[in-house]
Amino acid sequence: MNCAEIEERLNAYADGELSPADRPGVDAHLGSCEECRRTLDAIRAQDLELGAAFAGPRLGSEALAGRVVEAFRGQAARPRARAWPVLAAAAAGFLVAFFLFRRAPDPRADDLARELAALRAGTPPDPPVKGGPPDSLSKEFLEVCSRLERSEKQRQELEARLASLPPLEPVKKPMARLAVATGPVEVRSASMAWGPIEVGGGLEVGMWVRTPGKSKCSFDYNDGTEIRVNENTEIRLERPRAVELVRGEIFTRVAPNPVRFEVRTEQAKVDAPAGTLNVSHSARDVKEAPARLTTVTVLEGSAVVGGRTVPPGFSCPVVDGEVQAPAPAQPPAVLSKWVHEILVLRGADTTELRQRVEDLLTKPGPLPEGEVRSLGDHAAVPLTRYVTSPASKKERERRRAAARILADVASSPSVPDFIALLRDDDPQVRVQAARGLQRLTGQTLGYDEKHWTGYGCVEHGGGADAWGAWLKKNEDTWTLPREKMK
Amino acid sequence: MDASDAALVGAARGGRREAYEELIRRYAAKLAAVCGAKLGRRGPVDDMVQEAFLRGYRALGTLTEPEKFGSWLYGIAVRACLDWLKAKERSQVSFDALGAGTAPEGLLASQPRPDSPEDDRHERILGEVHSLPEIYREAVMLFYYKKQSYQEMSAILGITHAAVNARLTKARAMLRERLARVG
Repeated sequence: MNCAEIEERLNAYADGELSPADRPGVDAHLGSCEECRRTLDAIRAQDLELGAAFAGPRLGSEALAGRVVEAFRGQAARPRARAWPVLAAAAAGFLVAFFLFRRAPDPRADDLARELAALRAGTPPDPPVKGGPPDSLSKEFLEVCSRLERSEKQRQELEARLASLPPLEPVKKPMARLAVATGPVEVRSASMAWGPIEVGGGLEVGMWVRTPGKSKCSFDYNDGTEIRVNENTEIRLERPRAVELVRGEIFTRVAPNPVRFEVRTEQAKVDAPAGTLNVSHSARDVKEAPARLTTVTVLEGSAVVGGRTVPPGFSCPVVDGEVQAPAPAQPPAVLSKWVHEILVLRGADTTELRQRVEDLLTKPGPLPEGEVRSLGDHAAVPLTRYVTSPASKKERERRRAAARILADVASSPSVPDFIALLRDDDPQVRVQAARGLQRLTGQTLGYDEKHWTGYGCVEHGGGADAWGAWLKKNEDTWTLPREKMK
Repeated sequence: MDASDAALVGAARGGRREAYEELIRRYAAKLAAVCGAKLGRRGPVDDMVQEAFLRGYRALGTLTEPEKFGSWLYGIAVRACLDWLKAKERSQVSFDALGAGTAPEGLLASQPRPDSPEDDRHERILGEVHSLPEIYREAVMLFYYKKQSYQEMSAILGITHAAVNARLTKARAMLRERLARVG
């Protein structure tokens, strides 16, 4: 493994969360790389510091549990009370009366409530009921009246002050927000120089965005459109449905809207009502590009480029202002594999991710291991489907590569799948399944690689039976269906 | 062996309030981390944790997967915090406009004064944590409030193990960089 791959694993290593399969590789690298050892030391020192810094809040939160239990005991049986105060005086008056009387339910409370309401309305109260309220209740009644008067006075004062305030400016929702970023992202506007934007930060019409170095990011628009921005890219948000691609590459999922979505470069204009597009642009002054080149690939929907309609699955280059004929495009997973890092960071197990893995699996030739691995556990379901399909048995080496990747990337929900693969005809697939189980569970149940490569192991059951029994015993932990992980 | 969340939910539904109290003890610190991440250092974290548990208790009958109590409750806590933030946004007016003698209490409240250089450093660290983007702040706070495993964080946040690792890695790298600048 190289330093970048090690660095991705160092935090899990320091936290004790690294898979047993990865540990030997990381240990070996640390043994010979001083820089990575320094990074690990920094992570460990930071972990101690963060643990110490959070000691106070941690203690506080433990004490909080006791307080919440006490509050729960007190409140769980009572009717629901509003958390925030009500300003209207009529309601305030009623609540004052209700609060005073509810603790001691009294049929005369209804009479008093009616009298209070009459006072508020300025109408004479009904004649007292024969027998009338006793003196003690009259005192309470007077108390309620004076409280009502005070609250009425407070209400009038507050209303007068509120009326004298300048009108509040309506809170403006930004046009788009930065959803995720793999590194620093910068923005500028007509009145503001380049500066960083944090995840969650808002973007407005007219702003420029750029991704320096190796950063990639993704923006979510209010209308549901998403724009993913590759490294070394600069864009400008010209209008709510129009983006200028100054240089670099974007991938956009355009939400349907009566207004067509437009992507413009210095030499081409692309517009689409909805769909998924990948657009790249390089200017003439870039060394590797002798001409200005804009490439528009339509993955879903359709787009119009310089008057020419580009159907889904096609790429349309524009060279020095000349729109070329569209040609069949590579599958999305290959064409735009740069978005994988963004998708994994977003953390959702999406249909798009699985479809990308399917695309990689159907690509002819050797399995593109790097691209599949970059999708991590998201590749597990399509890989499992592939490995267990009868058709894959005709492609032995691809199938073995898929099993090898599965053993490295799959997470807990794949345990039952691995146990099923322990009965596979191919010894190498059985070995990988066992390796995956060892990584996830930390166990071998005493069966080593020699057992899984032996011809007798499938015939006699042995290790596969043992794992089946183990799974039955540990059902609660290891049989959580993948769908329920969402 | 401790009862599972699903078993406790079942018992609470059956009227055993002490079962819900056990769930409160299990999840209070995690919810404090989540609400703290959402509301910031001046937010009413305790109130929101309490509100979340109460809402959860009232809605317990609607929980279709009792084994997912943790992530369900996390969603309730997030919504409670968002409700509070929305209500706070609607009710805010400028302080000058309120007139003399009406400076809102609490907003000028200072942080507890650090007693030592170590406390000062911890204050800075917590301040930097609270200035992280929300998904990273949430990951750090959930990890350090209760020293949870990646598996537990994955279950409560509804994200994969790999995403937990990615967020913690990124969060820690950002903190190291920012604290190195602050000194």
